[in-house]
Order: sequence, then C-alpha cells, then structure tokens
Amino acid sequence: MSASSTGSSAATEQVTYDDKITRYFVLATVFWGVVGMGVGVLIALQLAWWPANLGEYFTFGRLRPVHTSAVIFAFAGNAIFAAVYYSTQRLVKARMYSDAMSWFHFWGWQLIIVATAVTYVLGYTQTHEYAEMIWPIDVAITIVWVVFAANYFLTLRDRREQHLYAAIWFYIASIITIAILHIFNNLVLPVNFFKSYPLFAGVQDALIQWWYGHNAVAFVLTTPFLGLMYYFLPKAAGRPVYSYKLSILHFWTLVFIYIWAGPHHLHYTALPEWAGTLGMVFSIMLWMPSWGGMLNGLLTLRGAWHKLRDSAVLKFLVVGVTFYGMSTFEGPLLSVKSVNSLSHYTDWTIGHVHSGALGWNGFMTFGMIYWLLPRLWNTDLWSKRWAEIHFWIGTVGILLYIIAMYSAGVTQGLMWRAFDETGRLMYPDFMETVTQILPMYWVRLVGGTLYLVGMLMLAVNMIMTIISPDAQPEDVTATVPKPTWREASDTDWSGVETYDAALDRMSAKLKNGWHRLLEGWPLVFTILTTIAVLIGSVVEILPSFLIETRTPTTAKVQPYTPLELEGRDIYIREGCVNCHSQMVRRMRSEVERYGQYNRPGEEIYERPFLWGSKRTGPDLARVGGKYPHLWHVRHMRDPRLTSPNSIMPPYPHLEENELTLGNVDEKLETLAMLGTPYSANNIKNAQENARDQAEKIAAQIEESGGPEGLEDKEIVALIAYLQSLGQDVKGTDLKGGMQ
Amino acid sequence: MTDETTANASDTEGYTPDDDLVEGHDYDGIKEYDNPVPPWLSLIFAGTIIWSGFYVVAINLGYISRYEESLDDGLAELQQLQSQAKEKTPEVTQQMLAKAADSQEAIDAAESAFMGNCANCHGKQGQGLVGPNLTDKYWIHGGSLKDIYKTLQNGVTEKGMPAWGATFDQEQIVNLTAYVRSLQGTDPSGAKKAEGEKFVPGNGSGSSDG
Repeated sequence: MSASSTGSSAATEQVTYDDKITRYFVLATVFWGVVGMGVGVLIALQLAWWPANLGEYFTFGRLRPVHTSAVIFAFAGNAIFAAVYYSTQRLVKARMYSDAMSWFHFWGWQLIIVATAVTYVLGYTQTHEYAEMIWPIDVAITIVWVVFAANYFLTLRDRREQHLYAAIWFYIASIITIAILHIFNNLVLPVNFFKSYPLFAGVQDALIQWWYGHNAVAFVLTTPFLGLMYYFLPKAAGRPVYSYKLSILHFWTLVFIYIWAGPHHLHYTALPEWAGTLGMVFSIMLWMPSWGGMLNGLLTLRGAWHKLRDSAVLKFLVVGVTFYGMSTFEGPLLSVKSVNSLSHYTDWTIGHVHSGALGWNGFMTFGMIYWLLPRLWNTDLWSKRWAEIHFWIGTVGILLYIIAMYSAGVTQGLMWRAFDETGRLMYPDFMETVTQILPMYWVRLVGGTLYLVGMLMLAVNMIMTIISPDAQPEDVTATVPKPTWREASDTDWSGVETYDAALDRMSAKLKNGWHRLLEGWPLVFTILTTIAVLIGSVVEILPSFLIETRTPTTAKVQPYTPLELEGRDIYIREGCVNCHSQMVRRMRSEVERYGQYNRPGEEIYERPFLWGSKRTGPDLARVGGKYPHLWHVRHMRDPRLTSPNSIMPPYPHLEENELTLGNVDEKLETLAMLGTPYSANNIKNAQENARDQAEKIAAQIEESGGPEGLEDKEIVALIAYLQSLGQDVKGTDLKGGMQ
Repeated sequence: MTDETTANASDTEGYTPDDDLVEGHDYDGIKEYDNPVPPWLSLIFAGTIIWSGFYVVAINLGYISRYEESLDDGLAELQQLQSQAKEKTPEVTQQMLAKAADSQEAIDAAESAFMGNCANCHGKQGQGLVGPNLTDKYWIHGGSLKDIYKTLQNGVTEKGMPAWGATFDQEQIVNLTAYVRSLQGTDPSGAKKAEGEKFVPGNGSGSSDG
C-alpha cells in the first residue's frame, strides 16, 4: 500500500463503523458468561454433593452439555463475534457489508443458544461432545453461519485497506474450518424432528467426532482468539507487533498441523493405532506453532511491561496469553500415548481444558471487554478498581480450579492402574478411587465460584458503565484514505509488451514477498487455508472408511433388539455418557478391571458411538450380566442403595415414566437404511418384540423380589440395554478367539 | 478516537525497541516489526518434526512396542506375579476356616468389608435383597464353610455375585466366610424367602462340616 497511498493523502472518505452490533455481542457475551459459568458451578457442586442433582431435568448428565455449549458457543462465541465485528471493520476500513445480515447473525445465534439449552435439559441430544444439538438446530447453525460468512467475505471484498492483517487471517481460517467441521460431524438421518442417527457408526463416528472435537478447540477457542489477540493486545499496549515473519510462520503451520491432532483423544481405544500415532506426532509438532502465537503476544509488550501496573486490560491479556502457552505445552504432552494412558478419562483432562478455557479464552475476553466498554459507550469504565479485583479473584479461581483437577486426575489415574505385589488391582473397587478425590471436587467448586464472582463483577461493571449518564453509545465515523490501490488493475497488461517488462512487473509485485501478495487476495488466501485444513482431514479420515468394508464383523455381534435400542436412547437422553465410558482400552489395568478391550468389529452398530471421554463412574462396556436386573432397579432408584458413597444422581422417574414404543419401528427402519441388518419383519414386529422382552425382564424382577408391574416402564428398557453390553464378546478370550 | 492510535509519545517509562518496522504495515494504527522468527523456536520446531519422523519409522519397524505388544507384556508380568503369589499362599484349609469361624476377632475384622460390599445386595443383616438371604439354613451354592469360601472367592458371575477374590486377599475372604457363617439363625426382620437346599452345619465349632 506504500506505493498507492503516497501522494494521495487528499483522497479520503468517511466510513461509519457499525458498533451497535459489537455492543450487542458484548452484552450477549457477558450475559451468557454468567449463565454458562453459573451452570458450571452448579454441576461442580453436583459432583461434590450429589443431592444438588435436581429432579429429572437438572441432573449432571443433562446440564453438563448445557455448561459446555453455553461457555463455548454462547460466551466465547459471542466474544469472538464482538471481536470480529469490531476489529475487522477497522482493519479493512469498511463497514460490515450488510447490517441486516449482521443482525440476522446476532439474533439467530442467540435463538440457537436458547433452543440448545432447552433441548438439552429436556433430554434431546445427539451426544457428540460440544455438538450435542439435535439436527434442526444444526441446520439453523448452518444457515446462520453461512449468512455470517457471506457478510464477512463481502466486507473483505469491499475493503479499503489493500492487505489483510494477521487478525483477519485467523478469522478467515476460523469461519471456513468451523463450517467444515460442523457439517461433517452432524451428518445424520432423522427419525423425526427430535431424533436422528448418525451416518457413521462406531470407530468412524468416534474419529469424526474427535476430529471435530479437537478442532472445535482449535478453530473456535484458539484461532479466533489469536485474531482477537493480534488486534486488542497491540492496541492496548500501544506497541507494534513483535514479528510479522513469526505471524506468517505460526499461522500457516498452526492451521495445517492442528487438524491432524484429533485422534490423540482416542489412544488405546478401538481406533487403529496408526491414526493415534499420527494424532500424537502432529500434536507434538503443534507445540512451536502454538508458542509462536504466545511469543508474538508477549514480546509485543517489550518495553511496555510497566503499563501492566495500571491496566487491568493488559493484565488480563498477558495472563491470558500465558495460559495459552501453558495449555499448548500441556496439550502435546497429553497427546503422548504413555501420558495419555494415565490422563485420559480422568480430571486431568478437565484441568487442562479449564486452564485453556478460564485462562486463555476467559481472560482474553475479559481484557477485550474492559478495553471495549469505554470505547463502545464513550465514557469511563464505572470502576477500574473492580476490574483489578476481578483480575485477581479470577486468577486465584483458575489456580485453585486447575490445581484441584490436576491433583484429582493424577491421583485417580494412578489408583486405576495400581497393582499390588500379588499382581492384583490395588483398588479394585472403583468407588474407592472416587471418594479419594472428592475433597478436590470441593476445592474445584471454590475455584469455579471465585471465577464466577469475577464474572459477576464484570457484569455489574458493564451495567453501571452503560447506565452512566455520560454514556454515549454512538457509531464511530473515521476518515480513511480512498482505496486508490484498486485503480491499479491486476489484469490490465496493456503497455507491458516485452518479456523484461513483464518480468519487472512481476518482481515489483513480489517485492514484499509472496505472502504480501497473498494478503491482497482474500479469495486465494481463503482457498489456500481451506486446502491446508483439508489435507490432514482427508488423510486421516478417508482410510478408516475404506477399511470398514474389510473389518471382519465379530461373528457374535448382533444389532440391538428393539427394547435395547429404546433403552440405549434413554441412556443417551439422560446423558449417562457424560460420566460413563464404554471403551475398555488396550491396557492391562483396563482389561483386569473391566474385561476384554473393545475391538472395532464390536462397534459397527453403535450409532452414535458412546465411548465417552470421562469416567466419573466406571466403564460400562462389559457391564451386561454383571448384576441381576433387580440390582439395576435399585441402583437407578438410588445408587447409594447398591453402591454406598456413590455420587451418581438418582433416577427414580425411570420406574414411573411410561415406556413409549410408539416410534421404535421408525427407529429400526432408519437404522436399517443406514445399514444395520434389521429385516422387514424385525421392523414390523418391533413393538411386539419390545413388549415381549419387557414383560420377560419385568417378570424376572418381580420373581427376584422386586417391584411389580415394571413391564411398561422406562427402567426395563434401560436394563435390557445395560444387560446387553459386552454380551457379544462373552465366551471369547482377550484376542477375540473362542476360549 | 485518538486513543485508538498506537505508541504513546509521552510514554517516558519503559523503552521502545529500535527494531525495524515493516514498511507500509499500518492497520488501524497497528504496526509490525520486521523481526526474524526466534532461532530457538525454529530449532525446536524442526526438532519436533525430525522426532516425529523417527517415531513413525521406529514404530513401524517394531522398535517401539505397539498397544498389543505392551498389553501382552504387561499381562504376562501380572500373571507371573499372580502365580508367584499363589505359590507363596497355602491353599485354604478346613482348619483355617473353622478357626476363623470360631474367632470373634476374625468376624469383627470382616464387618466393614461386609457392610461396604455385601450389604448392598444381601442387606445389612444379611436378610437378603437382590441377593439371597444369608441368615437361614438354605443355600443355593452350598452352606459349608468351604462352599461359602468358594462362592466368595470365585463368585457366581452369571447370577451377579462378583468374584471377590479379585478384591480381597485370602485372609479377608476367610474372615468374610466367618462373618457370613455368623449370620446363621439371626432371623432378622424382613428376611427374604428361603432359596436353595437346606444345610445343617455340624455342632458348634463347624469343624465337622464340609
């Protein structure tokens, strides 16, 4: 832009930025922050003290996805949009392409959040972590996202600044990749408006989900926040960015490498090991690209560190970036198979994500909002002191939270794998490993509560700032140079007649490097970014689909009976997967504790897969036949009747709720379309078959001294499902051969 | 909005690095330095790439054990420990069981284990809930001390009785056997109906049963 801007200083024009949309996104961020973190504190209490599970609808299993979705998509999501709308308009010197599209985006997103929260509490879920929304909401997300993306790219098209700044590179990568991830992880065949089954089953479903899950962390919680950092940190510090070259290097390596890392969530599982190996080595390679972002943030503060003393904004941003550095070192560490064998399914993972979420996403958002509030409302922040206190209380909250979780995670992980000198599990009773870490759950609750108090202080500070009589929420009009660079047409080659002249013109264009050229071509930039994220995706995912046809189906593996299928859907509805895994890993401590490890061939009818990611309770893959039916009745009524000290919520409503089998035939039909071998007869007789099985189970319960008349209650379906788990491999040895 | 522009001229504290700025880079007041990528970062990055290459080659050539190999090795080690322990532990004898059954100390020692693990299914008084009544004379899997011991040790997994041998060592199971025997004839309220075969232990000490 150096060539075009010199000598044309007179050619300016006015541009009025749409700051009202940013104000709304900031308000939404704070509102959902309070809600999402409030639910977080409630579910932390539920884990420490089970009576906090309130009735049928407000149990941990249903509320945990409300918490994760609220903080990721509502709190962090709205914060990202606030950052994107505020900074992009200024960085490209243009108002958003369409106000209508901006507002459609805003209200559409808020409605999606409300619909998501309500459906989760009511038990409508697809169970894929961080993507539990049922398919109509997925469709709505797609529509809103497309409108947002169109609005964004049309704004880039109409830009006045020729080149795209680093923040925008990260925004572009986020918008594109989130769209790809969202679509592929939500490919389902609906049964009805509320229920669907995924196109992929078992191992493939798991791979797709963790390709999504990991990259949701990458492209929702990392890249947009790096974009945010590249704008707000140098702004707040009043310093140039440390290194443009580093920006280029870490941007491209980050977007290319991140996408490969997903399978590290599935080490030792039924996923073929080579995929895990790729996930691990790419996670290791991701370490320095991640730290490139941290360095560019921290080194931008060279010479400006003293400003931290008086600026809560800078304190939040600097600690935020530091937590980013911490968790992106910890991430690669946790991806190493041997470390993962200890950490996976424990609270270590919870500690890891919260150091990233509370430290990086939360603090970057708070820093941005404290910086934005006085600018968006043209007045002083109501209380700088409160912002300072928020910073300290938040920091203490994070430290308590993560220390508690690391301690709980490592303790429980070591207990699960401990053997005594006689070669037996040292803690064969799972409950013992739970009661051991309960004190840490209380410490976590304190840490989380402190963090929430800080969030509430921000809310108060924001409200007081807004209602101040001095507040003037007006849009900013800036005088900007006219985009004279547009006049130099790229395609006009008239006058370039000799080979040398053409060469000169080419080298003049490349004078500032190939990347500078790319920064002037948003479309090409976007295409290259898309290619970068697609390479890893295709290389990892495609082979697993080709393998499917060759995977020998274990001979005894049978599709679920209609009643078991209904039971499985109840299991899904209640969110059991949030605390119970169904995946015995290929490790001796797992095999000794639970039984045979899960093999891919067993998983072919698992739609969706229910491997879980956290064991607050024991693994259930082999629970079938372990206890009598009556045990399950009593256990669901109140888990402490059968398992003293259990922290599981009671599910007495399962003994009262009528078992509805109204659409079980449609479910079978849908699954048959997806390839589950249900015959036409199976489908036709589904209801009858389910009734028969229910009556048998109810009779057995009654016979063994249990309550009467359970044959038309939900509990029998759930029992049928639980008793079926692992039955397909009964009588086979560890290697899947006959004993 | 002047506060949106960059470096504050009146800022006297700290310092402004005299690195070169990249010419022409000014985005809403944000400028960028032309600093190189820190060499250590490039070095570690290259290191991780090289290491990754080595790892992938090594695991494919068998220098790093895969899941199944590690699992086999681990299980073999456990089996060795288990068989060593088995050799060291003498078979449980009728005398051991009878001695424990006569010892109030042994019975008391098993109480918390019973309450924590058995009472959930058999009731706190052994009156029977999900599992059978332990206080009457009727036994599904045999009522001799040896039979009780076996049922505790190996479980009846198809009926939901876990194999407690995985949880407790021999002495604890012997004590639990004594505890279960001590429940005989206590006749608690709400006892479950009798199941199985009638068994009458020998007089007093129990030394004559089995």
